[in-house]
Amino acid sequence: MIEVSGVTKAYGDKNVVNNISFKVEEGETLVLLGTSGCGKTTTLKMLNSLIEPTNGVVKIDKKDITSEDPTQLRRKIGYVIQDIGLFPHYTVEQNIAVVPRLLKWDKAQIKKRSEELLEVLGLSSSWMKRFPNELSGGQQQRVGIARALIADPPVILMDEPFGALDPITRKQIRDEFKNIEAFISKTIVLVTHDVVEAVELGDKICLLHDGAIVQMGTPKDLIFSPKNDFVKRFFDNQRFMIELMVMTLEDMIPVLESRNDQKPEKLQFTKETSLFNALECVEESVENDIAIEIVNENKKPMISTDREALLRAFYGTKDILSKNRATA
Amino acid sequence: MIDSLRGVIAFMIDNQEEIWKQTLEHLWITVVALGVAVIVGLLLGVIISRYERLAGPVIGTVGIFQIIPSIALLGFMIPFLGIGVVPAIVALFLYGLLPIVRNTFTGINSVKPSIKEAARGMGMSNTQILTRVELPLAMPVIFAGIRTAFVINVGVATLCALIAAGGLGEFIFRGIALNNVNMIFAGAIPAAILAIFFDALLGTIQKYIKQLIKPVLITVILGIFIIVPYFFVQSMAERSFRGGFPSEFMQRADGYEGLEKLYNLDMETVELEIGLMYQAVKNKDVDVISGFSTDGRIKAYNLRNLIDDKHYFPPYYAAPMVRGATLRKYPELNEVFERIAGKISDEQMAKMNYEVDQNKKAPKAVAKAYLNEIGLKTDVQLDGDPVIVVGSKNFTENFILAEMFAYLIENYANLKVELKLGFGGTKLNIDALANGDIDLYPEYTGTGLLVLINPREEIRKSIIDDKDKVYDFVKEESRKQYDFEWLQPLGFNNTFALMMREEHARQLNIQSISDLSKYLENL
Ligand SMILES: Nc1ncnc2c1ncn2[C@@H]1O[C@H](COP(=O)(O)OP(=O)(O)OP(=O)(O)O)[C@@H](O)[C@H]1O
Ligand SMILES: [Mg+2]
Repeated sequence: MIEVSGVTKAYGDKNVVNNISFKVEEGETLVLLGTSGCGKTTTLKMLNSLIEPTNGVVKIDKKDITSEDPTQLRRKIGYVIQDIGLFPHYTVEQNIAVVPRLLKWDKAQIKKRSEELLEVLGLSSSWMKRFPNELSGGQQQRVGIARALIADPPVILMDEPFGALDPITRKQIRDEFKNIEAFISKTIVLVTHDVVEAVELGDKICLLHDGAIVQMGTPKDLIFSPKNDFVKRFFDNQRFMIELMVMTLEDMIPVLESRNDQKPEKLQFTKETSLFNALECVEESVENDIAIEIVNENKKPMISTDREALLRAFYGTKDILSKNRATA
Repeated sequence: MIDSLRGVIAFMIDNQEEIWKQTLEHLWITVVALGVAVIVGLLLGVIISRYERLAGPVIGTVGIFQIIPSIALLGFMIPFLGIGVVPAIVALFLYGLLPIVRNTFTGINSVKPSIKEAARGMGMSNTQILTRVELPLAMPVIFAGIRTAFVINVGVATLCALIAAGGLGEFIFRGIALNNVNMIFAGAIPAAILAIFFDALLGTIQKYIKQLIKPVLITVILGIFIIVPYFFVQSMAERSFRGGFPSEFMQRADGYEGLEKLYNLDMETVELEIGLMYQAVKNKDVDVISGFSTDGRIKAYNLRNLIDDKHYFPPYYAAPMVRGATLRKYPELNEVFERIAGKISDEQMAKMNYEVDQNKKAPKAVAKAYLNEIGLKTDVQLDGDPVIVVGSKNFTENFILAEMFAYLIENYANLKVELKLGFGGTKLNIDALANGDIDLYPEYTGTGLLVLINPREEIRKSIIDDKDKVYDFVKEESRKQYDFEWLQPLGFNNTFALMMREEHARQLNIQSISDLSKYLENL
């Protein structure tokens, strides 16, 4: 869907983005991850022609984007900007309706779609008539996201879409967001410097440093087979949590001990559930010693176990993963 | 306080019609100028916000008009646009431009970059970003600029009365000239109300700008396309013989009113500022003006003084006026000033004024050159403390004469002189002379008669058309009432006079005001 080849952006004699190439398949989410100033925003803006690359080609849908009128191009690409950038003189309703109006949708259609979207994003429709300065930072950010999604663009660019939020709200929105249809089906490039966010939302992560790609791959790739010390250290901070997040229950099954002794309570998880989420649920339940049942897509039980066995399996799997990847 | 307020109100009620007329003139000059300024200012502001390189030069150029004094700007435009409504509108337009251009530019520039970026990122074109995001967000700042421009314009528009464009300035300037406070207020109060009213109106338009922008813009643009060409055409059209006179001259009983009656003059008249009058006649915007017969500009603009053959204007012969005490102490002054008595003609005085006003020579140098020319010496240099103080009023001719007096006294009476030039008006010089702060200064017989002595009307009427009678009367009365002595007149008569372009007067064969009257009758 998106194909970036050999793209460089120079300001003066400094390459702030240096010869990067990557691909994002349709429906996939790519996270651009890196420390502040490494060139994430610059890279993102080259995808919708807000910045012109000094060198290299960006293709969307196999078409070189420079061959298209940039304003037409941008109307087909959702864009959530880093500073939110809502129009202060427009109400929430008008802010959301910007792109549909550019696309000359009729009023009823705009209204219907806005209402749907607000509901999906957890915004009450009573806010439609409010102005951005009457909303909290987090609420504004949701409006910013709604504005990017409304015209149902196949491609969405998001620059730190949850940046203005406190960690708790951030996690909460992220959870909601992950599950909405729009997010799942779209091709998304998302910028963040938060590793947990990257792991949680990204199908693939592209780790940037000083304008260049250090490593690109699935979260599992980056965590269990870091290309170098930089990559390894980048995830060190919350490594345990991240490892739990990238592993699914299915990954555990080969080494998981089955425990069928009678327990007062039972929790059921699908095999795609991340280890982190499963353990979190267990921690939250009143009873600590609880049976854990893993089911397949047809809700058929695959294996029954408990917390202790799950944790042991985690360490076993981790060893195998690290070894496999190292030899591969 | 209450009384003066009553006076103002009574005056305004008496002159309602005139006030309405002037207010409407004032209003529409301002509104048209502002309309054009808004359109051009917005365009310029938008252009320089797109091409920032141009911002400095454009704002600088537009700003220049703010520092040119209004009168100078009006004068500068006479050769191109003449007098009347057109140059008035152009001047107001130029004055209104800066605040609008600058505020448009600042307003657009102060829209947060993230907002512009968002607009671009959503897929707005440059025009859409401008009209949907930048201009609406800049609107409060732009409106502040428009309101500033409007208030400036209401103020400057009073000056348009000086170039025959009408407006509330007519009352204000006449009032100032005649020292009539009621009249000043009759102009100033409606002007202030206009400013306040329009400020409020603009405030309302700003509030409902979204709904009003289209109708307002359309009206303004249509209005401009209809009105402006109409006035340019009108100002180009043929016109009849026209006189241009300062407000004071138009209003005074001994000004145009009496002149018109005595000579039976029948012509169109407009009010003009004294400084601009000469340019207007030169530029053929008017055909006859009133001025002072020794003004340097008569020569500079090649004008002809019309002979006042019915002696309407009082004689203003210049002569040294000396403190009695000083003359008794230094009687030789009498003899000294005989050397210059009757030695300066109107033309010669006008030429000296011209040297100073137009050629920018020092009054002292011009005085010295003239004395040498008529064979008087100027080379004596005296040391020690001054014993005689020579004063002067605050205009060119009086400066030159005071310098001459100083040369004469030092060279022929051997008395060291101190000069106190530009003392102010007539009143101040008379007081200074009475107190002994100065010993003598150049005065005019007409002024002596009307200001110093101010006799009853019958006496004035009985002597006013004879220059010698006036001189004798003033000399006699000054001695009696003030102990001031008039020495012999210098020769020239700096009176009011009507003037025409030399070649125009020659072509119509007009020498005197009576000739002019006859010519007008036959039109
Ligand atoms: N217009 C510009 N001119 C010169 N340098 C620029 C320009 N825009 C960005 N840069 C530089 O390019 C580098 C990358 O900027 P960019 O905005 O892409 O960083 P980022 O990774 O998005 O950082 P952050 O996480 O802080 O948003 C920075 O060092 C920045 O200073
Ligand atoms: Mg950034």
